[in-house]
Amino acid sequence: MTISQPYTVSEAELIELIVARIRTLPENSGISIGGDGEFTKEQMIGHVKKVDKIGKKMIEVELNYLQSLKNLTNEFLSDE
Amino acid sequence: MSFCQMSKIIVVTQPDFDLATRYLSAWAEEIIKLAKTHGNTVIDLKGSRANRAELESIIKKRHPRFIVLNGHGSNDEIAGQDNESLVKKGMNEAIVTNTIVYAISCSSAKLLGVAAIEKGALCYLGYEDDFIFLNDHSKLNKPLQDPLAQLFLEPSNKVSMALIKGHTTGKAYRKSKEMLRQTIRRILTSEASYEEKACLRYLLWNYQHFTCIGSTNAML
Repeated sequence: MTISQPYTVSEAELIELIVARIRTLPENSGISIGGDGEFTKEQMIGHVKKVDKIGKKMIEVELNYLQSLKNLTNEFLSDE
Repeated sequence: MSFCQMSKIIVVTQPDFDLATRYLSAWAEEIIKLAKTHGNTVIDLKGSRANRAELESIIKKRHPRFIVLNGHGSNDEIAGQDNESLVKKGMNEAIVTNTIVYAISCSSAKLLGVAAIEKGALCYLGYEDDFIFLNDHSKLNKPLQDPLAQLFLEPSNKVSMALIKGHTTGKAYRKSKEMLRQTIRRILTSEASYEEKACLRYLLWNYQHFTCIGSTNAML
């Protein structure tokens, strides 16, 4: 199949993607996001689904990573 | 007091009222130990002593050269115990005049850092967005033995350690970023654990938002 048109993701698809990525975090871990506090994986998923302040930050961090993937090789794997 | 003596005073705030601040404070002990080994006088404002009145008083009386601020923050402020504002843009950023500041907190480099430099701070090292780190729940009572937190906090400590060892602010900034870069590189290229790979997105985030404002030639 050839995709000839730019593909746009809906908000629901985006949330599904981010939730799937957060599910890959280790079970026995927590995340500290500055002044916003400490969150478990399940709490983060809840925030992403609600698209509240914390959820939006999680989405931003995950999208930042995905968008950076194409540059990771040059930035981190070069011998410079 | 001679200039030489003044330059050897380091202030470290160590609030400890929640998990994040307990971790930052625990990891700050490594910096304090090294600073003392190198003959510096360290004034550590632990727990309830990490308040604005105490910080302002210490700075006024002792004229530290280097201030390490651990705590929660936002674009225009950095907080201490119980989130009391310690340094805030438009309120008291001039207290860090003639000092090197390392703010291990969220976002404060964005506005507070710039304002501090405008008011005469020598250099402000910090983060332009949220500072994020992961922890291992089985190590919550032993932050220094937490292998996930170590990935984030060891490179962060590198800034202070390089300054204490006599490097310039610019060199300290580069050494810290390089350590973070090497951590990311190792995870990308070697048999990193599943847990380490999960940290990659957050390590990259911190790497991208860590900044150095002001003089890159300042030294302790």
